[in-house]
Amino acid sequence: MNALAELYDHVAIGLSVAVSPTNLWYCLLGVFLGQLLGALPGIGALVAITLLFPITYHLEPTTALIMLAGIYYGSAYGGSTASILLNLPGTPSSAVACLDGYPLARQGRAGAALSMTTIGSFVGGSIGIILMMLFAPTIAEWALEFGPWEYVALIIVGLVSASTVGSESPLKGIAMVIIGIMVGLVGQDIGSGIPRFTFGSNELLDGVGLVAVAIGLFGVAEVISTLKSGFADEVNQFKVTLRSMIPTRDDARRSWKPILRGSAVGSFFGILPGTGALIASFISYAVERKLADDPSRFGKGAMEGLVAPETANNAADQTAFIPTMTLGIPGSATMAIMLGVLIMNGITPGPAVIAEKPELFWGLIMSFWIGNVILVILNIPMIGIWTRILTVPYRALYPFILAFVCMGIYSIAQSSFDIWIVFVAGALGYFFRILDLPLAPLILGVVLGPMFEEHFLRSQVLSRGDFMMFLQRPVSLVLLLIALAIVVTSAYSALFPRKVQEPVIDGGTNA
Amino acid sequence: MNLSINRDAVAGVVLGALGAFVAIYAYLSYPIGNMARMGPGMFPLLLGVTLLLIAIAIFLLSFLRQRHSIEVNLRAGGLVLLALAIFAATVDPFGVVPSMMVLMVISYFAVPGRNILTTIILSAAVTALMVIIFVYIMNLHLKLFAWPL
Repeated sequence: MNALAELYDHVAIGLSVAVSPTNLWYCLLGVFLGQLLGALPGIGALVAITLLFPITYHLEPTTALIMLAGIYYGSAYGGSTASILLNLPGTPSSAVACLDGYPLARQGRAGAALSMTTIGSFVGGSIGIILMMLFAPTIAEWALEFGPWEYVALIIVGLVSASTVGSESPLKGIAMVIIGIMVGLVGQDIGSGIPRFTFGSNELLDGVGLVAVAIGLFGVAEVISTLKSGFADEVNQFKVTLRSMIPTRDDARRSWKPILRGSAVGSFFGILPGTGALIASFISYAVERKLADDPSRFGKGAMEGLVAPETANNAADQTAFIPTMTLGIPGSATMAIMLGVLIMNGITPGPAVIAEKPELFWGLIMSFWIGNVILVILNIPMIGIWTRILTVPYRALYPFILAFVCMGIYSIAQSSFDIWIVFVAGALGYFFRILDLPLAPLILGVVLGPMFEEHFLRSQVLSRGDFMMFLQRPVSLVLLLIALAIVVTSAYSALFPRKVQEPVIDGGTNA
Repeated sequence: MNLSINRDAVAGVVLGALGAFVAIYAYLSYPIGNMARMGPGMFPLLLGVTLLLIAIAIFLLSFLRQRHSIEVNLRAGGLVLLALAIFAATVDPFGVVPSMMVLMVISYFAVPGRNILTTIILSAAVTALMVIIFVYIMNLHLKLFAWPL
């Protein structure tokens, strides 16, 4: 009863924050832009968030988070639209939606496919939010007792899994994380006050800005490498009328169980660092194919094969906020940027945030509800707009991205030095992409590096340089064993690859 | 452009050089300390050495596996980066509007088959849109035009 009253209080605090006119407007703007950019092929959640990040720079931290989060889960709704209608994933986590979504569209059932994915996305998102409301405060309370050893171990798990799980070369992922941590080293050392790796530059004393690096990597380097792959200019258009969007009784009968299973799979993989929406959608597809009475229908327009993964990726997008907000450890590059918003506003991410800033945490959660309802409205009655937007080819689009990159970064501090950092990050980022080195782990390293060093230093001071403390404390021991298991399994699967049976996905950015 | 060089071997050399540089630079420039009292040089030194070891592994493994050649889009990469550099160099002395125009015109030509006249019209349209969003909607005080005298 007591817990229920507490939850009621929290919901009330959150709602009062989320429905303030400013927050409501930025929530609407965020999900709208997320839906728009998610629907455009070639722009995923990561690119969308980095592009719009400078806009949130002048906002309150709660409002900024509400908007960026809206872009994030909004792009998951928009991503499936492109998959179904164009056979091109709008975001990487919607790649699976092509497998059965596009065949459905070719059978003239695009409307029903779109409305069923919207319903699935909403249910998945809702279940994810409910889990976050129920468990995040408990996890945070438990994590308050963590010492520097636990944090070092947690950060290692986060970095290792984010850079190795699902990657074809785990070594390259880890190398990029280390480079990210090195970028984070630049500037004045907190402990000694000595400037490190600034090479005599005064501008570098404060460090290399996360925003400029992220924009250089995802706004510039990704643009250049996407220009190479060249998206098709001609576009198959399917007519989507409101009438065709009404699902049949058969669709509903087939889909309700996959929707529930997709929510469970998605929620689980969303919480795990490094896995997230992309892997959740693949696993959910595999689960449905295994459970189906007639697996041969999959790939030819099976509604279950479309709805389940689309539900899963939305559930995962929501539960990914749980480790980010309760522990301060982001599980993906996108979450690292969310965390960057907190850090830049002087809020130390970690378990204390929920207790000390309830209006931020609960306001964000209640905005998730509002945002998800808005997305259903955007997707069902307004679908016509999105189908038309899909026809914009990338070659017409990328100049807008570059214009936004430059204006965005210049608007933050009116400093051309920041643009030069974008330039360097863009050039190096493209160079890394040529060498097939992934960029997403790098940004995770930039955010987590300083935290890692701080906790590592403190742990060594407290235990007088004794490494054994990591193994003597049960929580850090378990976490380090998990990290080891992840390294061993991904090294094994990279050295002895199974025969490929999963669909190939395009797009280098890992949302 | 396609270079038939072993891609992963190049990656290994580049990463290894970076790791070695950071380790050596940290060792020579900053106090290292010991594990119980780590100096500001210790963490970068450990990072540099780890990166070097991983790079050696990537380099060696590249000879065991299927080789990939290097693909570079010189036109897109060169023009986009050139446009960005010109924007960075001109935005303070000349203001947002002229430098944004130059940025747009050059980056439009990153893909082949553009017409000069439409490019200029589109560039002007994008520039106007950016001014509307950032100066009028977001109310930021940005210098639109300037003359470096």
